[in-house]
Amino acid sequence: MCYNFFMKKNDFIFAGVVLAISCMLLFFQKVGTLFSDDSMVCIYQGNEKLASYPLTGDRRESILSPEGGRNVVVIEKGEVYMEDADCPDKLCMKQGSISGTGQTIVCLPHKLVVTVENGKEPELDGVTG
Amino acid sequence: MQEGQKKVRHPAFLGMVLAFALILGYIESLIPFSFGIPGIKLGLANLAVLITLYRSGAKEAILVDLLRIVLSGFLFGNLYSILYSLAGGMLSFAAMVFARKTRRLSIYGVSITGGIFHNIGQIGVAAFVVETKGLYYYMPFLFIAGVVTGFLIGMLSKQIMGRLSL
Repeated sequence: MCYNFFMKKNDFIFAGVVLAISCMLLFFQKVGTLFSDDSMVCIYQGNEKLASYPLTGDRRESILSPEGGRNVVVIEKGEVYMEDADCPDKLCMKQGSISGTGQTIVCLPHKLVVTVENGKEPELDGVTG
Repeated sequence: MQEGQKKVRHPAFLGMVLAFALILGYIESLIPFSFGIPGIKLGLANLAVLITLYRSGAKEAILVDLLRIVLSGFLFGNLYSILYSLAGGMLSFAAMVFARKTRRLSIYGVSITGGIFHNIGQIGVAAFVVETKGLYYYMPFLFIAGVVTGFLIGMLSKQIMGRLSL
């Protein structure tokens, strides 16, 4: 019996279109996470997570560090910035505002790190078969 | 189906194919084939369904598919895994019948269609049960996996039918 090993032209086109759509979806998802609404602002002191707030809600938080330092973190219009700090160099204030996932503001003298994290962590559980 | 080939409707053939499907399902459960993403599997049992679809017809194939899902569900799984399998299995079956009817795709394209829609059905049930829309995040991965596994299963089906002169 005659049988060939390869796919036909239409199969290639079909598979190619599906793969292209998948890549586009992946791309848009990647872009989407940069502007996603469920981003969380996480505040760390050293290795300890002090707090996390949604990026969407406006708020102003004073953070006191154990050594007596004080930082004011402001979340406003989907952006985070350091409004005030009593450290000598004020570098954290000069770092401006951040909003994208993975961006950080660091206040080294107070060991404070403010970072935007993607809050979406869907739980993987369930039976497939 | 090639020219001049008779459809195989013999009960013994269907029984054999069903046994084949069950064995394939068992073999697949032994293979640790996981990407850490729910819903992705090789779908070896689809081999038997594809062969039945091509050599017997849609009615016989859906019979084999339904019996396979229920039997392997009771043998190796539970009620939930039957539910998941049914959603994936029936959706992919309908899609494969449709893809074959278009007469534009070969067994590869039909198998790939089955692979993709199997994954869509399973993630659909998972999203319904877990009530998380976040699961749709995995759609692109499932599409890609469906293309890859569909290609492999299509190739195997073609080889088996050719070599066994089914």
